[in-house]
Amino acid sequence: MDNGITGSALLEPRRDKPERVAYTVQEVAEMLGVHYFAVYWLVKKKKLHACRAIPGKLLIARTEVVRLLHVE
Amino acid sequence: MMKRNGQLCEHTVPDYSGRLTDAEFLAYNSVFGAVEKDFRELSTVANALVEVEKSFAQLVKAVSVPPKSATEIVEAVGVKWDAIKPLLKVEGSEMLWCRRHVEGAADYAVVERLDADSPLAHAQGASSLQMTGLDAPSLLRKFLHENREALGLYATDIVAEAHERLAEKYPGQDMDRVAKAIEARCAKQISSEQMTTQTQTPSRREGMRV
Repeated sequence: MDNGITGSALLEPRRDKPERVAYTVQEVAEMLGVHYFAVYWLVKKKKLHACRAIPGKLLIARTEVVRLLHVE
Repeated sequence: MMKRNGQLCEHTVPDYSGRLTDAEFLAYNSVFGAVEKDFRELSTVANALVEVEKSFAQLVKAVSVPPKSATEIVEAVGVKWDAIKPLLKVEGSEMLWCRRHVEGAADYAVVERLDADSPLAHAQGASSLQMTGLDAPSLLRKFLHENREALGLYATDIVAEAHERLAEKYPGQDMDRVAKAIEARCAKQISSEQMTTQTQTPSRREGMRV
């Protein structure tokens, strides 16, 4: 994500873009400030719920990230 | 030599027994290049787990004898643990192999310590108890097994990304062997499980953060 915004600020709504409902593992790793593998570990431990999108990639709902970060 | 679509199948790629045509080989290099950074990260974690497997006996011994020197103390869920050794380090976090004594009996744990500046640490605390148990070998086996499963999720995402890129770059072309070759390479990377299956002691607490 090359938009100059990092970390949990990625969760904040922006006027120029519609709010995302789900994120990839890489995006969530950036929001949480951890390595990708730590996110897969959170998914494995069911601390973060994820689903497989049609092409097979894991997607994590925005609400899950918000819950984990206690924001909103 | 075998031909496919009029092209010789003469190219070999790592961890795939088949041979690819010129077109497939070009596609393989292009798509693997796009996921190579992730593949290298996957390899780094897989290799770190292999090191834990190789050190299995030493790690079990390390928590079964009193430490020769003062150990670092980590606190998770209000409980203090002696951090004996790091098990797995990735950018921003590490898993620590820990022990404590309760009423003369040993208790073992894996505690994750996050970079204190990370948003996750701010929200959930910098240390979190990942798993505990009364039997060190069983707990270590469980740690390895669950990490292998997490690696499997990572590998599946890499393969899915490769499929997506193949479909985008080569619409209507049969790139099934290219996808299979990338899948085989990821599978090989995470398949180095060396441990024997033994009974595990159920964990008593999991996933609590402080």
